[in-house]
Amino acid sequence: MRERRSTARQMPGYNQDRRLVMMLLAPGLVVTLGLVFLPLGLAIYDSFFATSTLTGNGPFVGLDNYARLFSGGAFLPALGRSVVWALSNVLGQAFLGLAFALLLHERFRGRTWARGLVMVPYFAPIVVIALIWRFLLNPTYGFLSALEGAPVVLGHPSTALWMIIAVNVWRHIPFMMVLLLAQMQPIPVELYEAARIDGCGYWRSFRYITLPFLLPALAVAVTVRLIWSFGEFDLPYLMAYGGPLESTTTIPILIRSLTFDSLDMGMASAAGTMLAGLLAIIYGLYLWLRAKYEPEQQ
Amino acid sequence: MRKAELSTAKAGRYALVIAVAFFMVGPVLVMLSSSFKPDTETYDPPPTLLPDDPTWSNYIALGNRTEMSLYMRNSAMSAGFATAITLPLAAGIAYATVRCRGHAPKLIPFAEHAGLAAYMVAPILLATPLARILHRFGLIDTLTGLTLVYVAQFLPFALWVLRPYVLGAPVVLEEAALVDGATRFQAIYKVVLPQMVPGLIVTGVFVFNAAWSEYLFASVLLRSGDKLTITAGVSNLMSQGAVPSWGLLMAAGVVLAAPVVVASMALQRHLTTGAGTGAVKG
Repeated sequence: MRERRSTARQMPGYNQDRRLVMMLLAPGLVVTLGLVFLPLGLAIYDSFFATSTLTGNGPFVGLDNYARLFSGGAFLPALGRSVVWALSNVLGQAFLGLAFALLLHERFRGRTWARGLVMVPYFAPIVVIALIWRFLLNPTYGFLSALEGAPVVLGHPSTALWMIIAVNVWRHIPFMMVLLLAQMQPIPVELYEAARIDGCGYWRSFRYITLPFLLPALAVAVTVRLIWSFGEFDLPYLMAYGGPLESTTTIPILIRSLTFDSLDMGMASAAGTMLAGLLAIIYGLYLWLRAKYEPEQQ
Repeated sequence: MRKAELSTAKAGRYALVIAVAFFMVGPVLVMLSSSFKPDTETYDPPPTLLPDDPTWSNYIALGNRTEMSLYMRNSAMSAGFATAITLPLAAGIAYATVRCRGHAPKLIPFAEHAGLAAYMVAPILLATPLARILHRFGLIDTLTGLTLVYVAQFLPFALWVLRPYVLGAPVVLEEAALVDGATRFQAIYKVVLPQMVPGLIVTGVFVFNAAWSEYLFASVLLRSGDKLTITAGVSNLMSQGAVPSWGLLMAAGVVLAAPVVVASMALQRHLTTGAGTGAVKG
């Protein structure tokens, strides 16, 4: 290693190239540090102050905001909803994404078309997804109103969160499907032929050939989706604004309402810091899985 | 006998594929169809799949009664500039991290880790602190401020999509140019950049779509009615207290979704072939 570096240093134009590398990296690093990590640091910093949203200032209060988070109130229920939200989302997406990938992997006429059409919900903006489903689920005019009894699903505290989970799963099936299809492409066909000759049916071939090929990518994808699901704000907010009766208030929705309704930026920052901590743990798991399964990506 | 069994299985598979495709596209088609229905028809149950009497009235009302064209212009501006700034930054970083590892053995891994971590940060954590930072620089409630935030947000995503293209490009041509006496800069400009063009087009389209579709930052960092982007504008129409005109909302949804869905569909082959299975967070 040391050897190679010293020969690189003797190459003509080494210093010039080094300057070029700095020039290529610097702007992106500045933007990322200034507009992602600086605000993240500010949020953590604010969590130790009784910061008001209106003034952006407040006295130092130590861990008071955290103590208030955990002494009753809205935080723990929101955390519970976030866990339900993230786990159900990820499980639903992985399961249905796998089913879709299996269905659309085999050759048949119109496969390209089918794969393309299935992508549509994933390409549409979240605002539009929320709009469509608020219309479809509307008990008076929506298409569900044609059903007997016209169930009120988004307006009822016991069903609203599950309904939004279903919509979010629906939207993200294509993401998982594309990822798994890419993994299925290089599986040698000979393996399946050999398995068939040995008398394996569809399920045994799936269990002993397809699944082992997919598991590493599936594990990595599931952790990424877990991180992004915990942070998901747009769809639950636009479909129900946290209601009815806070039944869809996950941590990101709570952060918004603490910031803009209670004007309590200190508390909002403490809730955000807790979320960031949780995400950091899952991120650690993600890095570990990635190093284990995708060393060439490093 | 066997042949009959085979064709039943085939028919079953086709039925399943059609059902799945309808499950995914059906709701979007309902929006499209409802945008051509007058409200009297939408509000008259039971709902129908196709309009009895198709009309452009919702689109005309959208143009006359809302600021939709202004919102579209704002979105096109912020997404366009964000793409124009993000692409060269991403191209430079992708090149440096793939081809010049030996020249900055500490900085490159640092940059890669920072980029990956930034990709995972939940946007909701950044919204209010970013509002304060932009306020400090006089950029709150400006499209310039929003554009800069988009550059930071979508740079990791752009890198994720672009990197496989750089990894896949042959090194030989570039080395030949260097051996023939070209400077590194000339080699990049004359040899590497032309090879990156397809990747840059795909990445550019997906970054533009992500910025066009972005909702959270647009709704927090913009205030004035004349600055709103299309997502913030449409979400305002959705949350207005009075009974909304569903026809108008559906037309707004079609206008918001159409450009990105059409562009993404045109390029989706590049997602399925495995290059850049990246995603916009969320």
